[in-house]
Amino acid sequence: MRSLMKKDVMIQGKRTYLIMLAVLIIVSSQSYFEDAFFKLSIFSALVAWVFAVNTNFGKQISDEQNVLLLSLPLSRRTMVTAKYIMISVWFTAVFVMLFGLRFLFICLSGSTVIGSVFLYLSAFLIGLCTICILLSFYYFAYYRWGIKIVQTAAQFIWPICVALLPWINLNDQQLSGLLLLISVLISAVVLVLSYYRSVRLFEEKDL
Amino acid sequence: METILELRHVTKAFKDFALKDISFSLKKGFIMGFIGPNGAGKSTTIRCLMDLVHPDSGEVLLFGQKFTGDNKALKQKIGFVYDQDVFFQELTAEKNKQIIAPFYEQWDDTIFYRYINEFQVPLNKKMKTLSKGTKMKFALAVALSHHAELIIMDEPTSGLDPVFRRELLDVLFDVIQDENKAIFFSTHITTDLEKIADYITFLLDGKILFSKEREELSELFRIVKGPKSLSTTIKQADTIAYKETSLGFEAFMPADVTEKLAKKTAFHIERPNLEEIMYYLVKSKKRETAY
Repeated sequence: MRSLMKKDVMIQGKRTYLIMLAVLIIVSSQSYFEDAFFKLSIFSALVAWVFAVNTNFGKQISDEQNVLLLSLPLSRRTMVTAKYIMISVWFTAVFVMLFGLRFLFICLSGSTVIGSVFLYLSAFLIGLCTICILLSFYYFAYYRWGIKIVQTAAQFIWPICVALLPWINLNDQQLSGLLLLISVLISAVVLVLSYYRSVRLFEEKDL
Repeated sequence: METILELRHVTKAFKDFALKDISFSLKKGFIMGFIGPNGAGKSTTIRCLMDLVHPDSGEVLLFGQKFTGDNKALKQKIGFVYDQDVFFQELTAEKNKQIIAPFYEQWDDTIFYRYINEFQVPLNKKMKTLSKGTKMKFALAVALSHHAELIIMDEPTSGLDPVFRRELLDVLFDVIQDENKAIFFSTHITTDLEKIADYITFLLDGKILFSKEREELSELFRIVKGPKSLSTTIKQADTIAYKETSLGFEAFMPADVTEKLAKKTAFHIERPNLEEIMYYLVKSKKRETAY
Protein backbone atom coordinates (compact mmCIF):
# COMPACT_ATOMS: atom_id res chain seq x y z
CA MET A 1 0.00 0.00 0.00
CA ARG A 2 2.74 2.45 1.00
CA SER A 3 4.64 1.68 -2.19
CA LEU A 4 1.55 2.44 -4.26
CA MET A 5 1.07 5.73 -2.47
CA LYS A 6 4.74 6.59 -2.93
CA LYS A 7 4.31 5.78 -6.62
CA ASP A 8 1.54 8.41 -6.84
CA VAL A 9 3.84 11.04 -5.36
CA MET A 10 6.65 10.08 -7.74
CA ILE A 11 4.67 10.09 -10.98
CA GLN A 12 3.17 13.51 -10.30
CA GLY A 13 5.93 15.36 -12.12
CA LYS A 14 7.95 18.38 -10.99
CA ARG A 15 6.00 20.75 -13.24
CA THR A 16 2.69 20.00 -11.52
CA TYR A 17 4.24 20.53 -8.10
CA LEU A 18 5.80 23.83 -9.14
CA ILE A 19 2.65 25.16 -10.82
CA MET A 20 0.47 24.21 -7.87
CA LEU A 21 2.96 25.71 -5.40
CA ALA A 22 2.87 28.96 -7.36
CA VAL A 23 -0.94 28.90 -7.33
CA LEU A 24 -0.98 28.29 -3.57
CA ILE A 25 1.45 31.17 -2.95
CA ILE A 26 -0.61 33.55 -5.08
CA VAL A 27 -3.93 32.55 -3.53
CA SER A 28 -2.69 32.56 0.07
CA SER A 29 -1.32 36.08 -0.36
CA GLN A 30 -4.55 37.54 -1.79
CA SER A 31 -6.60 39.87 0.39
CA TYR A 32 -9.71 38.50 -1.30
CA PHE A 33 -9.37 35.38 0.82
CA GLU A 34 -8.98 37.24 4.08
CA ASP A 35 -11.04 35.63 6.81
CA ALA A 36 -12.40 33.06 4.36
CA PHE A 37 -11.51 29.70 5.80
CA PHE A 38 -14.35 27.99 4.02
CA LYS A 39 -13.35 29.19 0.57
CA LEU A 40 -9.67 28.45 1.17
CA SER A 41 -10.63 24.97 2.26
CA ILE A 42 -12.70 24.37 -0.89
CA PHE A 43 -9.82 25.75 -2.90
CA SER A 44 -7.47 23.27 -1.17
CA ALA A 45 -9.86 20.53 -2.23
CA LEU A 46 -9.70 21.70 -5.84
CA VAL A 47 -5.90 21.76 -5.82
CA ALA A 48 -5.80 18.31 -4.23
CA TRP A 49 -8.19 17.21 -6.96
CA VAL A 50 -5.59 18.23 -9.56
CA PHE A 51 -2.95 16.06 -7.90
CA ALA A 52 -5.25 13.08 -7.53
CA VAL A 53 -6.58 13.30 -11.07
CA ASN A 54 -3.15 13.93 -12.54
CA THR A 55 -1.62 10.81 -10.95
CA ASN A 56 -4.51 8.61 -11.92
CA PHE A 57 -5.75 10.02 -15.18
CA GLY A 58 -3.07 12.42 -16.41
CA LYS A 59 -1.85 12.38 -20.01
CA GLN A 60 1.09 10.21 -18.98
CA ILE A 61 -1.24 7.53 -17.58
CA SER A 62 -2.99 4.91 -19.66
CA ASP A 63 -4.38 1.42 -19.15
CA GLU A 64 -0.88 0.06 -19.80
CA GLN A 65 0.23 1.29 -16.37
CA ASN A 66 -2.58 -0.74 -14.84
CA VAL A 67 -1.20 -3.75 -16.68
CA LEU A 68 2.17 -3.09 -15.05
CA LEU A 69 0.73 -2.60 -11.57
CA LEU A 70 -1.53 -5.62 -11.79
CA SER A 71 1.38 -7.78 -12.81
CA LEU A 72 3.19 -6.80 -9.62
CA PRO A 73 2.44 -8.63 -6.37
CA LEU A 74 -0.65 -6.57 -5.66
CA SER A 75 -4.33 -7.27 -5.37
CA ARG A 76 -6.83 -5.23 -7.33
CA ARG A 77 -8.51 -4.22 -4.10
CA THR A 78 -5.21 -2.80 -2.80
CA MET A 79 -4.85 -0.70 -5.94
CA VAL A 80 -8.30 0.80 -5.50
CA THR A 81 -7.82 1.31 -1.76
CA ALA A 82 -4.56 3.19 -2.34
CA LYS A 83 -6.34 5.56 -4.72
CA TYR A 84 -9.00 6.34 -2.13
CA ILE A 85 -6.51 6.77 0.70
CA MET A 86 -4.47 9.13 -1.43
CA ILE A 87 -7.46 11.50 -1.55
CA SER A 88 -6.90 12.42 2.09
CA VAL A 89 -3.11 12.50 1.67
CA TRP A 90 -3.26 14.99 -1.20
CA PHE A 91 -5.85 17.12 0.55
CA THR A 92 -4.00 17.20 3.88
CA ALA A 93 -0.75 18.15 2.14
CA VAL A 94 -2.40 20.97 0.17
CA PHE A 95 -4.41 22.21 3.16
CA VAL A 96 -1.35 22.36 5.42
CA MET A 97 0.66 24.06 2.68
CA LEU A 98 -2.05 26.62 1.90
CA PHE A 99 -2.79 27.53 5.49
CA GLY A 100 0.92 27.45 6.34
CA LEU A 101 1.60 29.96 3.58
CA ARG A 102 -1.38 31.99 4.77
CA PHE A 103 0.11 32.18 8.29
CA LEU A 104 3.43 33.15 6.81
CA PHE A 105 1.93 36.05 4.84
CA ILE A 106 -0.09 37.18 7.86
CA CYS A 107 3.04 37.16 10.03
CA LEU A 108 5.05 38.95 7.35
CA SER A 109 2.38 41.67 7.15
CA GLY A 110 2.68 42.20 10.91
CA SER A 111 -0.87 41.05 11.71
CA THR A 112 -1.81 38.34 14.19
CA VAL A 113 -3.08 34.91 13.14
CA ILE A 114 -6.82 34.68 13.57
CA GLY A 115 -9.30 31.86 13.94
CA SER A 116 -10.17 29.22 16.53
CA VAL A 117 -9.18 25.57 16.48
CA PHE A 118 -12.80 24.72 15.64
CA LEU A 119 -12.65 26.96 12.60
CA TYR A 120 -9.51 25.27 11.27
CA LEU A 121 -10.84 21.81 12.00
CA SER A 122 -14.17 22.69 10.37
CA ALA A 123 -12.44 24.09 7.32
CA PHE A 124 -10.31 20.95 7.07
CA LEU A 125 -13.30 18.64 7.33
CA ILE A 126 -15.43 20.62 4.87
CA GLY A 127 -12.60 20.57 2.34
CA LEU A 128 -11.96 16.88 2.89
CA CYS A 129 -15.65 16.07 2.49
CA THR A 130 -15.77 18.11 -0.72
CA ILE A 131 -12.81 16.32 -2.29
CA CYS A 132 -14.09 12.94 -1.11
CA ILE A 133 -17.46 13.48 -2.76
CA LEU A 134 -15.92 14.85 -5.97
CA LEU A 135 -13.41 12.03 -6.35
CA SER A 136 -15.89 9.35 -5.28
CA PHE A 137 -17.96 10.16 -8.34
CA TYR A 138 -14.86 10.56 -10.43
CA TYR A 139 -13.24 7.25 -9.46
CA PHE A 140 -16.50 5.41 -9.89
CA ALA A 141 -16.81 6.92 -13.38
CA TYR A 142 -13.29 5.74 -14.16
CA TYR A 143 -13.91 2.15 -13.13
CA ARG A 144 -17.30 2.14 -14.80
CA TRP A 145 -16.55 3.85 -18.12
CA GLY A 146 -12.76 3.87 -18.46
CA ILE A 147 -9.89 6.30 -18.56
CA LYS A 148 -10.75 8.18 -21.78
CA ILE A 149 -14.05 9.46 -20.39
CA VAL A 150 -12.52 10.75 -17.16
CA GLN A 151 -9.49 12.22 -18.92
CA THR A 152 -11.84 14.24 -21.11
CA ALA A 153 -14.10 15.18 -18.20
CA ALA A 154 -11.12 16.43 -16.18
CA GLN A 155 -10.50 19.17 -18.72
CA PHE A 156 -13.94 20.67 -18.04
CA ILE A 157 -14.83 19.88 -14.43
CA TRP A 158 -11.89 21.59 -12.72
CA PRO A 159 -12.13 24.96 -14.53
CA ILE A 160 -15.90 24.99 -13.91
CA CYS A 161 -15.40 24.33 -10.18
CA VAL A 162 -12.74 27.05 -9.91
CA ALA A 163 -14.97 29.49 -11.77
CA LEU A 164 -17.83 28.73 -9.38
CA LEU A 165 -15.70 29.21 -6.25
CA PRO A 166 -16.19 33.00 -5.88
CA TRP A 167 -19.95 32.48 -6.18
CA ILE A 168 -20.17 30.16 -3.20
CA ASN A 169 -22.19 32.17 -0.74
CA LEU A 170 -21.07 30.75 2.57
CA ASN A 171 -18.91 32.58 5.08
CA ASP A 172 -16.97 31.37 8.10
CA GLN A 173 -19.76 32.20 10.55
CA GLN A 174 -21.94 29.60 8.83
CA LEU A 175 -19.43 26.80 9.53
CA SER A 176 -21.52 25.17 12.22
CA GLY A 177 -21.28 21.80 13.90
CA LEU A 178 -24.48 20.64 12.20
CA LEU A 179 -23.20 21.54 8.74
CA LEU A 180 -20.04 19.61 9.49
CA LEU A 181 -21.92 16.56 10.70
CA ILE A 182 -24.14 16.50 7.62
CA SER A 183 -21.13 16.96 5.32
CA VAL A 184 -19.17 14.18 7.00
CA LEU A 185 -22.12 11.80 6.89
CA ILE A 186 -22.94 12.47 3.23
CA SER A 187 -19.32 12.19 2.12
CA ALA A 188 -18.80 9.01 4.16
CA VAL A 189 -21.82 7.34 2.55
CA VAL A 190 -20.82 8.46 -0.96
CA LEU A 191 -17.18 7.41 -0.38
CA VAL A 192 -18.04 3.96 0.95
CA LEU A 193 -20.54 3.26 -1.83
CA SER A 194 -18.12 4.48 -4.47
CA TYR A 195 -15.22 2.48 -2.98
CA TYR A 196 -17.05 -0.84 -2.83
CA ARG A 197 -18.56 -0.39 -6.27
CA SER A 198 -15.14 0.58 -7.70
CA VAL A 199 -13.48 -2.46 -6.12
CA ARG A 200 -16.16 -4.71 -7.55
CA LEU A 201 -15.90 -3.16 -11.02
CA PHE A 202 -12.10 -3.33 -11.04
CA GLU A 203 -12.03 -6.92 -9.82
CA GLU A 204 -14.28 -7.91 -12.70
CA LYS A 205 -12.47 -5.84 -15.31
CA ASP A 206 -10.35 -7.39 -18.08
CA LEU A 207 -7.24 -5.48 -19.06
CA MET B 1 9.25 -32.48 -12.20
CA GLU B 2 6.69 -30.17 -10.66
CA THR B 3 4.26 -28.38 -12.96
CA ILE B 4 4.81 -24.65 -12.66
CA LEU B 5 2.16 -23.43 -15.09
CA GLU B 6 -1.02 -25.07 -16.26
CA LEU B 7 -4.07 -24.02 -18.20
CA ARG B 8 -7.07 -26.35 -18.10
CA HIS B 9 -9.80 -25.88 -20.69
CA VAL B 10 -9.58 -22.10 -20.54
CA THR B 11 -12.12 -20.25 -22.64
CA LYS B 12 -12.63 -16.54 -23.00
CA ALA B 13 -14.97 -14.88 -25.46
CA PHE B 14 -14.69 -11.32 -26.70
CA LYS B 15 -16.88 -9.56 -29.25
CA ASP B 16 -14.86 -10.66 -32.26
CA PHE B 17 -12.46 -13.22 -30.87
CA ALA B 18 -12.39 -16.15 -28.46
CA LEU B 19 -9.91 -18.40 -26.75
CA LYS B 20 -11.33 -21.90 -27.05
CA ASP B 21 -10.54 -24.72 -24.67
CA ILE B 22 -6.90 -23.81 -24.08
CA SER B 23 -5.00 -26.50 -22.21
CA PHE B 24 -1.26 -26.94 -21.78
CA SER B 25 1.27 -27.15 -19.02
CA LEU B 26 4.92 -26.37 -18.34
CA LYS B 27 7.17 -28.09 -15.86
CA LYS B 28 10.00 -26.58 -13.87
CA GLY B 29 13.35 -26.54 -15.60
CA PHE B 30 11.98 -26.06 -19.10
CA ILE B 31 11.43 -23.32 -21.66
CA MET B 32 8.18 -23.23 -23.58
CA GLY B 33 7.83 -21.24 -26.78
CA PHE B 34 4.36 -19.97 -27.53
CA ILE B 35 3.86 -19.38 -31.24
CA GLY B 36 1.08 -18.41 -33.56
CA PRO B 37 0.25 -15.76 -36.13
CA ASN B 38 -0.90 -12.25 -35.24
CA GLY B 39 -4.31 -12.28 -33.65
CA ALA B 40 -4.11 -15.95 -32.69
CA GLY B 41 -4.61 -15.09 -29.02
CA LYS B 42 -1.08 -15.33 -27.63
CA SER B 43 -1.22 -12.04 -25.72
CA THR B 44 -4.72 -12.80 -24.44
CA THR B 45 -3.53 -16.17 -23.16
CA ILE B 46 -0.61 -14.45 -21.43
CA ARG B 47 -3.05 -11.96 -19.91
CA CYS B 48 -5.05 -14.90 -18.56
CA LEU B 49 -1.83 -16.25 -17.06
CA MET B 50 -1.15 -12.90 -15.40
CA ASP B 51 -4.71 -12.56 -14.12
CA LEU B 52 -5.27 -9.47 -16.24
CA VAL B 53 -8.09 -11.20 -18.11
CA HIS B 54 -10.59 -13.41 -16.33
CA PRO B 55 -11.39 -16.63 -18.22
CA ASP B 56 -15.08 -17.40 -18.77
CA SER B 57 -14.41 -21.01 -17.84
CA GLY B 58 -11.48 -23.29 -17.13
CA GLU B 59 -8.63 -22.94 -14.70
CA VAL B 60 -5.25 -21.25 -14.60
CA LEU B 61 -2.85 -22.85 -12.15
CA LEU B 62 0.50 -21.37 -11.24
CA PHE B 63 2.84 -23.27 -8.94
CA GLY B 64 -0.04 -25.72 -8.50
CA GLN B 65 -2.36 -23.05 -7.14
CA LYS B 66 -5.44 -21.52 -8.70
CA PHE B 67 -5.66 -17.79 -9.13
CA THR B 68 -7.84 -16.31 -6.44
CA GLY B 69 -8.72 -12.72 -5.63
CA ASP B 70 -5.38 -12.19 -3.93
CA ASN B 71 -2.43 -13.45 -5.94
CA LYS B 72 0.31 -11.50 -4.21
CA ALA B 73 2.28 -14.55 -3.14
CA LEU B 74 2.11 -16.12 -6.60
CA LYS B 75 3.14 -12.93 -8.36
CA GLN B 76 6.20 -12.61 -6.14
CA LYS B 77 7.49 -15.63 -8.06
CA ILE B 78 6.69 -14.36 -11.56
CA GLY B 79 8.84 -12.14 -13.73
CA PHE B 80 7.10 -10.59 -16.73
CA VAL B 81 8.05 -8.86 -19.94
CA TYR B 82 5.33 -7.34 -22.11
CA ASP B 83 5.39 -6.19 -25.68
CA GLN B 84 3.92 -2.79 -24.84
CA ASP B 85 4.85 0.37 -22.98
CA VAL B 86 3.73 -0.60 -19.51
CA PHE B 87 6.28 1.51 -17.66
CA PHE B 88 5.77 5.11 -16.61
CA GLN B 89 6.89 6.91 -19.72
CA GLU B 90 7.44 10.32 -18.13
CA LEU B 91 9.79 8.89 -15.50
CA THR B 92 13.38 7.80 -15.91
CA ALA B 93 14.26 4.12 -15.95
CA GLU B 94 15.79 4.55 -12.47
CA LYS B 95 12.53 6.06 -11.11
CA ASN B 96 10.56 3.21 -12.67
CA LYS B 97 12.83 0.78 -10.89
CA GLN B 98 12.31 2.68 -7.62
CA ILE B 99 8.56 2.29 -8.05
CA ILE B 100 8.64 -1.41 -8.93
CA ALA B 101 11.36 -2.76 -6.61
CA PRO B 102 9.57 -2.23 -3.25
CA PHE B 103 6.76 -4.55 -4.29
CA TYR B 104 9.10 -7.54 -4.41
CA GLU B 105 10.26 -9.17 -1.19
CA GLN B 106 13.31 -10.66 -2.88
CA TRP B 107 14.31 -7.72 -5.05
CA ASP B 108 18.05 -7.79 -5.64
CA ASP B 109 19.65 -4.47 -6.64
CA THR B 110 22.97 -6.14 -7.36
CA ILE B 111 21.43 -8.36 -10.02
CA PHE B 112 19.39 -5.47 -11.41
CA TYR B 113 22.36 -3.15 -11.87
CA ARG B 114 24.46 -6.01 -13.25
CA TYR B 115 21.90 -6.60 -16.00
CA ILE B 116 21.45 -2.86 -16.56
CA ASN B 117 25.21 -2.51 -17.11
CA GLU B 118 25.36 -5.61 -19.22
CA PHE B 119 22.45 -4.45 -21.41
CA GLN B 120 23.68 -0.83 -21.39
CA VAL B 121 20.36 0.69 -20.36
CA PRO B 122 20.67 4.43 -19.57
CA LEU B 123 18.90 4.73 -16.21
CA ASN B 124 18.84 8.54 -16.22
CA LYS B 125 16.75 8.84 -19.38
CA LYS B 126 12.97 9.00 -19.48
CA MET B 127 11.32 5.80 -20.63
CA LYS B 128 9.61 7.60 -23.50
CA THR B 129 12.98 8.50 -24.99
CA LEU B 130 14.29 4.93 -24.99
CA SER B 131 14.12 2.73 -28.06
CA LYS B 132 11.82 -0.27 -28.07
CA GLY B 133 14.80 -2.58 -27.75
CA THR B 134 16.18 -0.68 -24.75
CA LYS B 135 12.77 -0.71 -23.06
CA MET B 136 12.68 -4.45 -23.59
CA LYS B 137 16.14 -4.77 -22.04
CA PHE B 138 14.97 -2.76 -19.02
CA ALA B 139 11.87 -4.95 -18.68
CA LEU B 140 14.03 -8.01 -18.84
CA ALA B 141 16.38 -6.67 -16.15
CA VAL B 142 13.35 -6.02 -13.93
CA ALA B 143 11.94 -9.49 -14.58
CA LEU B 144 15.21 -11.15 -13.67
CA SER B 145 15.99 -9.10 -10.55
CA HIS B 146 13.63 -10.56 -7.98
CA HIS B 147 14.53 -14.24 -8.15
CA ALA B 148 11.39 -15.10 -10.10
CA GLU B 149 10.78 -18.81 -10.62
CA LEU B 150 8.59 -18.35 -13.66
CA ILE B 151 9.43 -15.85 -16.39
CA ILE B 152 6.52 -14.97 -18.67
CA MET B 153 7.39 -12.96 -21.75
CA ASP B 154 5.18 -11.62 -24.50
CA GLU B 155 7.18 -11.15 -27.70
CA PRO B 156 10.43 -10.27 -25.91
CA THR B 157 12.56 -10.50 -29.03
CA SER B 158 10.45 -8.29 -31.29
CA GLY B 159 12.13 -4.96 -31.91
CA LEU B 160 15.51 -6.25 -30.83
CA ASP B 161 18.55 -6.32 -33.03
CA PRO B 162 20.00 -9.76 -33.85
CA VAL B 163 22.98 -9.24 -31.51
CA PHE B 164 20.84 -8.53 -28.48
CA ARG B 165 18.37 -11.25 -29.45
CA ARG B 166 21.26 -13.68 -29.25
CA GLU B 167 22.36 -12.17 -25.92
CA LEU B 168 18.83 -12.48 -24.61
CA LEU B 169 18.71 -16.14 -25.52
CA ASP B 170 22.02 -16.64 -23.71
CA VAL B 171 20.59 -14.91 -20.63
CA LEU B 172 17.50 -17.11 -20.74
CA PHE B 173 19.69 -20.15 -21.16
CA ASP B 174 21.63 -19.11 -18.04
CA VAL B 175 18.40 -18.58 -16.11
CA ILE B 176 17.08 -22.01 -16.99
CA GLN B 177 20.19 -23.69 -15.64
CA ASP B 178 18.40 -23.40 -12.32
CA GLU B 179 16.06 -26.36 -12.54
CA ASN B 180 13.52 -24.70 -10.26
CA LYS B 181 12.77 -22.08 -12.87
CA ALA B 182 10.75 -22.10 -16.05
CA ILE B 183 10.35 -19.70 -18.96
CA PHE B 184 7.25 -19.21 -21.06
CA PHE B 185 7.56 -16.90 -24.00
CA SER B 186 5.61 -15.97 -27.05
CA THR B 187 7.35 -14.97 -30.22
CA HIS B 188 7.04 -14.67 -33.97
CA ILE B 189 10.71 -15.37 -34.42
CA THR B 190 10.70 -19.13 -34.50
CA THR B 191 14.46 -19.41 -35.06
CA ASP B 192 14.90 -18.15 -31.49
CA LEU B 193 12.81 -21.02 -30.21
CA GLU B 194 14.75 -23.57 -32.20
CA LYS B 195 17.80 -22.52 -30.23
CA ILE B 196 16.41 -22.75 -26.72
CA ALA B 197 12.82 -23.98 -26.39
CA ASP B 198 12.15 -27.41 -24.93
CA TYR B 199 8.43 -27.28 -25.71
CA ILE B 200 6.45 -25.55 -28.41
CA THR B 201 2.82 -24.60 -28.04
CA PHE B 202 1.09 -23.46 -31.20
CA LEU B 203 -2.00 -21.32 -31.03
CA LEU B 204 -4.16 -20.64 -34.06
CA ASP B 205 -7.44 -18.70 -34.08
CA GLY B 206 -7.76 -19.03 -30.33
CA LYS B 207 -7.23 -22.79 -30.27
CA ILE B 208 -4.23 -24.87 -29.33
CA LEU B 209 -3.06 -26.75 -32.38
CA PHE B 210 -0.39 -28.60 -30.47
CA SER B 211 1.75 -28.39 -27.37
CA LYS B 212 4.70 -30.70 -27.77
CA GLU B 213 8.38 -31.22 -27.16
CA ARG B 214 10.42 -29.49 -29.83
CA GLU B 215 12.25 -32.70 -30.73
CA GLU B 216 9.00 -34.59 -31.00
CA LEU B 217 7.57 -31.90 -33.21
CA SER B 218 10.27 -32.27 -35.80
CA GLU B 219 9.27 -35.94 -36.06
CA LEU B 220 5.62 -35.15 -36.65
CA PHE B 221 5.71 -33.47 -40.04
CA ARG B 222 7.53 -33.70 -43.35
CA ILE B 223 7.79 -31.57 -46.45
CA VAL B 224 7.51 -33.66 -49.58
CA LYS B 225 8.87 -32.25 -52.83
CA GLY B 226 8.57 -33.73 -56.27
CA PRO B 227 7.93 -33.09 -59.96
CA LYS B 228 4.49 -32.10 -61.22
CA SER B 229 4.01 -35.59 -62.69
CA LEU B 230 3.70 -36.95 -59.13
CA SER B 231 1.28 -34.32 -57.94
CA THR B 232 -1.80 -36.53 -58.42
CA THR B 233 -0.32 -39.20 -56.15
CA ILE B 234 0.49 -36.68 -53.45
CA LYS B 235 -2.89 -35.01 -53.65
CA GLN B 236 -4.57 -38.31 -52.97
CA ALA B 237 -2.55 -38.67 -49.78
CA ASP B 238 -3.43 -36.92 -46.53
CA THR B 239 -1.68 -33.61 -47.16
CA ILE B 240 -2.00 -30.78 -44.68
CA ALA B 241 -0.93 -28.15 -47.18
CA TYR B 242 -0.03 -28.32 -50.82
CA LYS B 243 1.48 -25.79 -53.19
CA GLU B 244 2.77 -25.89 -56.70
CA THR B 245 6.11 -24.33 -57.53
CA SER B 246 7.87 -23.61 -60.82
CA LEU B 247 9.79 -26.86 -60.38
CA GLY B 248 7.02 -29.10 -59.17
CA PHE B 249 5.17 -29.21 -55.87
CA GLU B 250 5.68 -28.97 -52.14
CA ALA B 251 3.38 -30.82 -49.78
CA PHE B 252 3.33 -30.54 -46.03
CA MET B 253 2.11 -33.73 -44.41
CA PRO B 254 2.17 -35.91 -41.33
CA ALA B 255 5.42 -37.88 -41.09
CA ASP B 256 3.70 -41.29 -40.92
CA VAL B 257 1.94 -40.64 -44.23
CA THR B 258 5.20 -39.74 -45.97
CA GLU B 259 6.77 -42.99 -44.78
CA LYS B 260 4.08 -44.99 -46.58
CA LEU B 261 4.44 -42.82 -49.68
CA ALA B 262 8.20 -43.11 -49.75
CA LYS B 263 7.93 -46.88 -50.01
CA LYS B 264 5.96 -46.55 -53.24
CA THR B 265 7.50 -43.55 -54.95
CA ALA B 266 10.80 -41.70 -54.78
CA PHE B 267 9.89 -38.32 -53.34
CA HIS B 268 12.27 -35.82 -51.89
CA ILE B 269 11.40 -35.65 -48.20
CA GLU B 270 12.62 -32.96 -45.79
CA ARG B 271 12.14 -32.23 -42.11
CA PRO B 272 10.47 -28.86 -41.76
CA ASN B 273 11.81 -26.27 -39.39
CA LEU B 274 9.54 -24.49 -36.93
CA GLU B 275 8.88 -21.60 -39.27
CA GLU B 276 7.82 -23.95 -42.03
CA ILE B 277 5.57 -25.87 -39.65
CA MET B 278 3.96 -22.62 -38.55
CA TYR B 279 3.63 -21.38 -42.13
CA TYR B 280 2.03 -24.51 -43.54
CA LEU B 281 -0.31 -25.02 -40.60
CA VAL B 282 -1.55 -21.47 -40.77
CA LYS B 283 -1.87 -21.77 -44.54
CA SER B 284 -3.78 -25.00 -44.37
CA LYS B 285 -6.12 -23.73 -41.64
CA LYS B 286 -6.81 -27.33 -40.69
CA ARG B 287 -7.90 -26.13 -37.32
CA GLU B 288 -9.92 -29.12 -36.35
CA THR B 289 -6.96 -31.45 -36.64
CA ALA B 290 -5.16 -32.29 -33.42
CA TYR B 291 -1.49 -33.15 -33.79
